[in-house]
Amino acid sequence: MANYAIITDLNRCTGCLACTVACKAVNGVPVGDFWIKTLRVGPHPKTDGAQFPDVEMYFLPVQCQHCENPECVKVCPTEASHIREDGTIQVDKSKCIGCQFCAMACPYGVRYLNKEERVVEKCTLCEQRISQGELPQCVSQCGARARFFGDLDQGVDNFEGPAHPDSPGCQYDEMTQTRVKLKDYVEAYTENDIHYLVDAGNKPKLMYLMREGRKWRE
Amino acid sequence: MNPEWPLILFTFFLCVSGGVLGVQGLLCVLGKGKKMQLPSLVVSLAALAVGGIAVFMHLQHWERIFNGFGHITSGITLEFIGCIVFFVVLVLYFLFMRRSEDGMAPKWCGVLAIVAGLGLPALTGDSYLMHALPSWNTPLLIVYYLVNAVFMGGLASLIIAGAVGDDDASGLATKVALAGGVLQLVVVLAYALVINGSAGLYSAEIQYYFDPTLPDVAMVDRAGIVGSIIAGDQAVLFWLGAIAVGVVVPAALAWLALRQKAAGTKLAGYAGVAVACCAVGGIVWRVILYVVAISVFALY
Repeated sequence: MANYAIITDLNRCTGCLACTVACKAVNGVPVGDFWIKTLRVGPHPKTDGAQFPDVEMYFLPVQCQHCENPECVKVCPTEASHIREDGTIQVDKSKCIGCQFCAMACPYGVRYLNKEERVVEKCTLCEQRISQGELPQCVSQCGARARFFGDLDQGVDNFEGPAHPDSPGCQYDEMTQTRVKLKDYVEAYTENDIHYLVDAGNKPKLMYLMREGRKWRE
Repeated sequence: MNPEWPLILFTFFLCVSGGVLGVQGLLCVLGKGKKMQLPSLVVSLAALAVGGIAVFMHLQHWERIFNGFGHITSGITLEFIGCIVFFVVLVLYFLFMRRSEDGMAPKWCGVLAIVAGLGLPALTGDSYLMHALPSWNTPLLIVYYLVNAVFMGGLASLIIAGAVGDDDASGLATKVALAGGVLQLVVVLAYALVINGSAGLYSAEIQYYFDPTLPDVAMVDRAGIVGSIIAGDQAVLFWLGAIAVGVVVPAALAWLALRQKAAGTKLAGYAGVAVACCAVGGIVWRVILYVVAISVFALY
């Protein structure tokens, strides 16, 4: 049906935390929990032994990676954690017994126990929005226009992000439906510039774009 | 990871339960331990029940427990099924013991008891193997649960043999306990060394990072955490708790009991102290396993 994912252009990400905040606001994520958090990786020497100012760093938004071979789904005893038809990993809260094995098995620490509902939660890729043709809120609100959402089956070049409408003062619907494609918007990239978080056999699907000249670290 | 006490107690009591039933099975196959059959079954069942209650404390929605059959290949579901099969074996053993004319369960019941007694701890260990947690994701975890079951089972059976005066069973139970002790010493030391040398598995290229959601929390010292067992923060707990108190003392007590040909209450006394020490060691090692369980992407 589809195979949804997000790519983040780390050469563009400014670490503004808009994605983190937008996610919390739209999904009602409890205080202390983060369905997406933005880490600063570095500063590291650009070359071995280099000193300041020859250092570099990047910001890394970390959320559920909606893996191809998800460990959380494998260990879930109730099938509460499951792969949806659109390729996203979702939690059926009515089935969850709160054993938290999924949180232990997730390599990225992106699953949280909702203490009020006593079930495990995580990024849904804004299922409530994407099922209506909208963008996930973290993509929609990205302050640096570094995040793009799309269907892997259509190719990453066709992932979409929000764009300026042609006419200032346009209606909300027009504004939210105005999109731009990754390939057309960001600086040129090759397949070698696309990176994934450390893979423990789970095959993460979310991608990070970091072009030559910057070192991806894992 | 913070220690999950319900799970620690669950795995501990499961090893006790499996060990006691397994040793009773071995005694049955060898035609020994007739007098201690019922007490062994009761102890095994009680340990299974305590472990089961403990694990319920871990579940946030225990009232939905039957959802636990929803994914048949998941570790927890297999554990759940394993507990039920174990219970069935206990009942079968009891029924055939009561039915037999000489009061001794048939040998096939003994074989079943050995298989169930070793199978349940192994299944439990298997459910904790997770690629994300290298400290757990090793067959050594399964082997540890197995040898811990043998050690605890041997020692607990010694108490039972001493308490009911089943002298023909005590020699074998002591040997099982001693073998379990030696094996546990080897396995725990090997396991500690493996974890100690695993620092390279954890996001090694990321030396510096900052998590703005945890601004007052230091970076995770990944090498420090996994290297803490042999000569770090966990060293005292490890060497004193898991090794000296947990293995050396109980094994020495079992050896003393064998040497002195202790019987009756004296044997039960030796074994009682040994079991208490072994319990401390088993729980300490499980706590350490939680402390060193950090994810491959251990940045927060």
